[in-house]
Amino acid sequence: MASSVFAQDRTKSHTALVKGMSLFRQAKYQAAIKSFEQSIMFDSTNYDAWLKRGFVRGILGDFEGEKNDYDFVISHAPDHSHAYVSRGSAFSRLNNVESAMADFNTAIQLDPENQEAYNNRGFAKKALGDKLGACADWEESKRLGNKEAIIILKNNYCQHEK
Amino acid sequence: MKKFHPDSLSIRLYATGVFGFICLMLFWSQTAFAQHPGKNETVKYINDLIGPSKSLSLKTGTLVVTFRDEKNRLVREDRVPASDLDLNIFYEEESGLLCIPCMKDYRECLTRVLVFQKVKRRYERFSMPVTDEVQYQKLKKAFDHLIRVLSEVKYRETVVLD
Repeated sequence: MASSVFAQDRTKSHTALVKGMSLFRQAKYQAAIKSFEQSIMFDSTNYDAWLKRGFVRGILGDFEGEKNDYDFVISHAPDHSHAYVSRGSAFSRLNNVESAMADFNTAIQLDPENQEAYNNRGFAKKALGDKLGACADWEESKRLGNKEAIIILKNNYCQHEK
Repeated sequence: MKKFHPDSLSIRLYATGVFGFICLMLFWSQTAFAQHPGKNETVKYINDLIGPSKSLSLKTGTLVVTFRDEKNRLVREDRVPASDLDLNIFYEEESGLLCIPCMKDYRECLTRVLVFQKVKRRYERFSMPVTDEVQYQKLKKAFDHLIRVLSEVKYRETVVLD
């Protein structure tokens, strides 16, 4: 019986998550956050809902709230590479570049093919004045297929570093 | 043989007649060969339909759509050159979106800026949240007209919006 209720809650959580994504696409950000909250209420282990709520909170400028959502995911799923990339980006927005670097490094350790982590670490290195390191990361990100890195390198930011 | 010497009154009348004719021709050419409604009227029509949290404006040939949150803060800005858009406008019922894909040669023609996060990304389509299919049909007609007004040199059609 208990597992059946749990399954029902998981279904409801998924439904709320899908609804939240739809509201997000319609740029109804507050409503999307409420839907993600519902999703979390039904199943607190639905990490997608936490990550998405964090992202939308960031869109609305609530970077602390955004970071807290990623914190939750990382504390419960410490091998979630994407959560580290997201929290690293939140740290960057909070001007905490060292913590951002640490998170991007962890993300790359967990998933050496994480193109987003290389791309974002490139920005963090740039902010720390390490242009060579930034360019190396963007090169790697480009090699892995990251579109933003392709544009950065196309715009010749790293031309003098080769 | 007696020569004709026009007096000053005749010359003035003649000149006034020619000037009047030219004005009439200019007015006729403006009305007969202009699209209706014009781009500004069409933009106003669209803005009246989409509501206060979203706003469409034109910057030369580029469509600029801004999204504001409940506190009226600018959270998102989408920009797309009208000439890069395909006219295969479609309704994505699941997400409640009017979608206009980029033309094949201009993939990722839309640039989206998430203002607080300072994130700039490119997408393969323009999208506008709609309330239902009725609103979609109205907006489809208006966007089709607007895109053609902005990007087709020989487009000279009159459409009835509403």
